[in-house]
Amino acid sequence: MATPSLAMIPSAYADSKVYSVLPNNGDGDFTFNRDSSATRVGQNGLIQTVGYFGSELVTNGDFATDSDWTLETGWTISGGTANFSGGTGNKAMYQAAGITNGKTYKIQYEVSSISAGQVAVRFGGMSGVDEITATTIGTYTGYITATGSANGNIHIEDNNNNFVGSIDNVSVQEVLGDQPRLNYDISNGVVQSCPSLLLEPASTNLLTYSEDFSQYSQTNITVADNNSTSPEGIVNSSKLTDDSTNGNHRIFLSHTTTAASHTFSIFMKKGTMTTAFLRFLSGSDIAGANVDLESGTISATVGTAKIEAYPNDWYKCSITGTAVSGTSYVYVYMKQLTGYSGTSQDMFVFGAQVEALSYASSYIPTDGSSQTRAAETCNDAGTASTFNSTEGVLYAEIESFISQDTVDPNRYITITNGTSNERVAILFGGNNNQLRAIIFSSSQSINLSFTTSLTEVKQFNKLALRYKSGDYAFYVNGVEIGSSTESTIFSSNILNDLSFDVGGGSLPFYGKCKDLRVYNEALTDAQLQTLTTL
Amino acid sequence: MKISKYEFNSQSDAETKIAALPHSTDEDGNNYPTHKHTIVKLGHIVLEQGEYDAEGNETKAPVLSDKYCVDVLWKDLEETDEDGNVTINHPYGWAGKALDLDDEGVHGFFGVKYQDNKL
Repeated sequence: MATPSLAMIPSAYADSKVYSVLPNNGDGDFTFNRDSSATRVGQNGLIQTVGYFGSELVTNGDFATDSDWTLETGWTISGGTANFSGGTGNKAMYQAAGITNGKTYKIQYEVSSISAGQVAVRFGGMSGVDEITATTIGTYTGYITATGSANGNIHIEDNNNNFVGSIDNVSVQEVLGDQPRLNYDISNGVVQSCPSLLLEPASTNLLTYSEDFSQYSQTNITVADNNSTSPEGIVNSSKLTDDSTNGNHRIFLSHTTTAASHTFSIFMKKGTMTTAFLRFLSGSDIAGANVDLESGTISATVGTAKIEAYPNDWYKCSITGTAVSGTSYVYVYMKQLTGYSGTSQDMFVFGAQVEALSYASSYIPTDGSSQTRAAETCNDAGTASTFNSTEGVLYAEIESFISQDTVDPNRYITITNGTSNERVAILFGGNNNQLRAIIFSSSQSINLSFTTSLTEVKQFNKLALRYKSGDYAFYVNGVEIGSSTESTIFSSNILNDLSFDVGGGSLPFYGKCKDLRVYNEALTDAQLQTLTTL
Repeated sequence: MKISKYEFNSQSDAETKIAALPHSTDEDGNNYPTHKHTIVKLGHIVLEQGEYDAEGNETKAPVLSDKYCVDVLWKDLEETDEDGNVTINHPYGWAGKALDLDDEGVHGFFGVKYQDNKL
């Protein structure tokens, strides 16, 4: 079989980039964007936060102790602040913070008192460049890109030989920017070896506390937060223990919903108690399910329910129903919906989330306020020389989050001219389990569409679309879905862009992608059958 | 990238402003935004939490704002004039509804602080 002109198998990425395997000159790399942090499942099966800022690089930035900083003449650390009382020679205090040339950092510090002069924070070796200066009390934030002269240190400096004051809470974090997520799927609790590129829409966790269950209303139950190892691999899951009361044993939390489909998801793990009931109340019971954490099963009583096994006996359990506008409530009942006399049995919970989607998206942590993960885009791979506009194949192995998406009905992957006016497209359609292929050319008056709904789209499917004058065909999982002898074809060299959208940035693809390729020749039927066979 | 928080007199006022942002229609007749902003409709936010008895029944209703609240993470608002000066402004009609909070408010964008990116 021919070698693809462009191949993206999720394996390497950088800030704002998803690298393609082919071509290897950079032309095939995608531009990625997401304006917030997000979480993924890492190679070790643990939930990890990706972007937007890196970890704290300053040690003892709150000056709790007189340590970790090198103090030039005049600087002292005492009383929980760093202090200077005027001097000569622009004296500084500094520490090695691992600053790397070429990278951009967010710097923040607080001036807690000042009676004279000016203080500056900068990178060592970059005197006079991108300094963040202050002459009044306040918190100061700035961004500095380290240049070749930077020596790895963070400097706090008396800037005019007359600074008199104190500073506190010095912070330096690398700006990681728009980091794509290579997500490792988990099947029956086992982490899969090959990741997929995860592209999700914006979503808001409406629950103001996702991990601090002591904030929840409690009925005949005690909550011990930070009790055991969570799906993040750190000790921040909560233990629920029932008491001896004969009645319901539950926690619940209110939130505000709109009149739309909503999903409540939560990570749960058995303790001495192995069963639970999840309930979503919005005007009436809109979703509920019995959960068995021993067998890993869930049974919906209202709405729909799903359970996914995670490593270390954790399960991600979710229930979905249609909420009303107003105050709604989610509940976790130990053992069952109905009352019983407790015997100090326990179970573990982590990562509660309610979102206005008909499925549970990736985890969005909250701690006192609802939080939104921004939508993701991935586009602009290739140039006119990458693609053959007059014949070729677009191939993708993709999975949808949902069988039918009424919010984002058409989710495209396309080769285009940078707009939707000229496009070779494969997409999730708006109907149930719908996979589609479209060839559209405004300039050449081509409008071909092939559609199937015969396979489950919430699993990985292999799709290939061949375009060539007199020889169009769409294959899914080794089966030809449709073909055409349409004789018209795109103008030469008009296709120049491979994107996860309809062309021009709209109607983005939301789902998972394991493999994406473009061939610059029209593969044969036999080759397409082989290529797409599961 | 800038973050701003808004308070509208009603949901319809907010929806009107959101609908006025750039959008288009696909071949199936579906409207879709062509802008890259992230708009979060918070609605009538809770000013005072409700209270509940041991059975989970509401004993005191939460107090809701009479305003309709919207948080927006704006993307690519920068405009450059003929002298090369870059300005960032609220889209037309939004500035008068903007709030200026001293804290992060009741909602945030995961990992991105409002105070650091306030418009």
